[in-house]
Amino acid sequence: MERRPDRDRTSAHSDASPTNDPSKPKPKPVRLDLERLDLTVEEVEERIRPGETNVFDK
Amino acid sequence: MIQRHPFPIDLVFPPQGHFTQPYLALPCLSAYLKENGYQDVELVDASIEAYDRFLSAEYLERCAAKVAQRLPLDAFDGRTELDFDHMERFRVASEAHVAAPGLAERVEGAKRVVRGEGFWDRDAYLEAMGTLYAGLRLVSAAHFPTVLTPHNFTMGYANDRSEEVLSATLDEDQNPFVEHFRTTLLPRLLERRPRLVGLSVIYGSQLIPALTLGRLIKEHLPECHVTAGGGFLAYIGEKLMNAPGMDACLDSIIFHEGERPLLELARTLEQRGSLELIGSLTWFDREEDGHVRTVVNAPQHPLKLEDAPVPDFSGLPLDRYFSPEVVLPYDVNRGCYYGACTFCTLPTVIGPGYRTRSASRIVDHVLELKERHGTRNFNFITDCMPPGMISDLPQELIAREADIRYWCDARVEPKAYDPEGARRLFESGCRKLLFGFETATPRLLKLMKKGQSPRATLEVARNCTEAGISVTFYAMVGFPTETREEARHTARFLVDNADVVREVSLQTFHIDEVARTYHHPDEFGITVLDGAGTDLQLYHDYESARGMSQSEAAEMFDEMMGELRQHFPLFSADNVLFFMQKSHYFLHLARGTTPDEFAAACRERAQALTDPEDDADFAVAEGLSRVEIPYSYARCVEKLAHPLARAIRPDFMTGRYVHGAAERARAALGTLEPTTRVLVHAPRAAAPFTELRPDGLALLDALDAAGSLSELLAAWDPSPAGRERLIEFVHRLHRCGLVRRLAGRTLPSGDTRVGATH
Repeated sequence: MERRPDRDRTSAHSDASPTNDPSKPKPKPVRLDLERLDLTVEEVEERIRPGETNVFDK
Repeated sequence: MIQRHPFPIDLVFPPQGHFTQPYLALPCLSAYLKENGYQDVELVDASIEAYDRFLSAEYLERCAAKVAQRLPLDAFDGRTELDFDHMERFRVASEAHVAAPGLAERVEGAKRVVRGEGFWDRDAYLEAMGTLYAGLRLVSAAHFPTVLTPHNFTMGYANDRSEEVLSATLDEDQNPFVEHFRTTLLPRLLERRPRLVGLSVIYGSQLIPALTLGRLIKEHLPECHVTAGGGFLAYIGEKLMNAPGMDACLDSIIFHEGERPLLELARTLEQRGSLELIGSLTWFDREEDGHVRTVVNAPQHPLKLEDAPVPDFSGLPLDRYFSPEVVLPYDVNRGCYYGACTFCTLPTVIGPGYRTRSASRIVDHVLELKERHGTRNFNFITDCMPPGMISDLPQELIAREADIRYWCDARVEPKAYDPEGARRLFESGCRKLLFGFETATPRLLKLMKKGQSPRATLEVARNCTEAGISVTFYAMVGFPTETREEARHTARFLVDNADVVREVSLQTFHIDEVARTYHHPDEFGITVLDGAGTDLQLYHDYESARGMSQSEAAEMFDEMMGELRQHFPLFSADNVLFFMQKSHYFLHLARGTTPDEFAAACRERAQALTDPEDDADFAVAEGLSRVEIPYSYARCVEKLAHPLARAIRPDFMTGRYVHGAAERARAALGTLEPTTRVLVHAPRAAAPFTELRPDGLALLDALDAAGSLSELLAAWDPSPAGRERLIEFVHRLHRCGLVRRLAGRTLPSGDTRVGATH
């Protein structure tokens, strides 16, 4: 996998190419063994810092 | 009116203040100067100018290039571990690299959305705000370890040490305002050649930018007098004026109310008189031998507020703020009529005594401003309105058919905010009130000398809510002697009354040098600690014999905020961005949306993310970018969010570092082991970053290649267990905004091998 953000390989990484662009040929999905994959998903919420809730004064 | 020969004056609001609406101090000063003969007054909101330029395509492209050079991700390769001292750098580098692509292309559109009709479209607005936040993260990364947010500006320099503050004004690598002022504002000033420049420093976050600008002006316009004033300097101005080297950035400071001293300063400078007789001025007497002496003048008498002119906003770029409609601040009174709360220092900052305008004068001014600027939105600047005013002002607004909408702070006055009073306030245009609730524990309210009970506060809130006014509570965690149980009781109280209270502004308690808690620590069972070498210190750490420690209070803040985010519609998912943008929620109320309707829309948005139907079909969201990283970003953020780690960053309010915090954090939080993770950025997601394992990315790519979940299922025909795992994974991606629901499409049932139905 490349180090840099890849915006061209598939629409998953690109602002410019919408996901369901019919003009763009899609590579065939490579079959994966779903039962053996590590599918951990960690959503990282931006923590609200104590002072940053004083939004009405600043 | 007296006419004078030209004497150009520039009044500047230095960065950083919030980008949604103008601030009041400069328009008040400008009006007073003009009324007294100084017509050539220019107002400069250097804060909105900076935000507008920083959040431009050209500037962000420059920042992306700078980040690639200053914070390369491959610098983290090949280490055996990531130590605590490099975690912040790793976090910032990861975020900047993954979020930079496409940002420059999106940012101008995002500004158009928040300034235009797109503002009223919830999806468009929240995406645009997300883009602006991402833009500021990139600007910050380009100046690492500096952090600029919509609410703050901090650097790797401590705000409470003059030597560091002065060094920060010269550090072009980390201080974005050196280049910004030199290339934008300074050339304009050189052309205009003002004789007097006034800098309005209300917040600690403005100190370094203000002194950066002051230094540039003094270098290039030595004949111009640079003065400064404002709330933050009322606290630390005296220390600042005694700090070695400060005369390179300033000539004087005005304490407390600025109108009269500033006018006298202009007159004295014009007449080349002595500064000695100007009240409330502290100034540098530059002697011929080069010696600089700090002179403190006697205090000036405050202004009779009733006679003060209507604030003059002319010259401020009202169409440049990040709001579709301008909300004008207006001060109905100055000071606090109550003035007894033991934690509060605002009366000291604003100046002596409580002063007010009459209701009829306020309405005169409001109508004039409404006519001048074509807006009916106002933010009344007041610590609190006394009971008489709560009755008189709405009556006057109604009688004169002012037809305005406003929001303001308020003190709990049960008689004034009875059902009839609340109805009258709504009828007069009041759409949001913010009450100092503080805590649900009567013992602590007594110690704070709040003079109110939780029951009375709730009754007032209920009356306002039933009248259609949105209620916000200011709440506090960690007041000396408060226990965890008491704080949890407050959180429960708030959650139990989430139908009455729409927003909570939760703060951790802190001690500044003006508060009663600092001067009488025995009354509160605390020992105040002094910071070594902090010649500009205002805020202090303390040790408490009872109740939570400061660190425990910081942990409790996170716990309470978690509760609020779970139970308050306005705090759920990315709806919290409405709360975070000052008047933006109010603007919806002002337009006619009721608080209930707004809350319902927030709930609907949050539920749409969390509750997809079992057979819902999905496709990969547009605009995702990702980057492989050698450590877990999620674990890194977790460690950096720990109160011990937060203490190494300059605090929001104080801009100071906690002495010894880095050592404690290093010892307690440990290191990170190398691992391979993928950070994915979704510009339209409620949370901007999601961490996947390489397997997860492979599956995301497969989903993208298939076109949709239904097509992937049809292509692979997985086992029931595999199908279940895949659908569960996609639902989790949906919560993170990495996939989007395909409207009207459903999955084939588990035993069917046909594609999606339309």
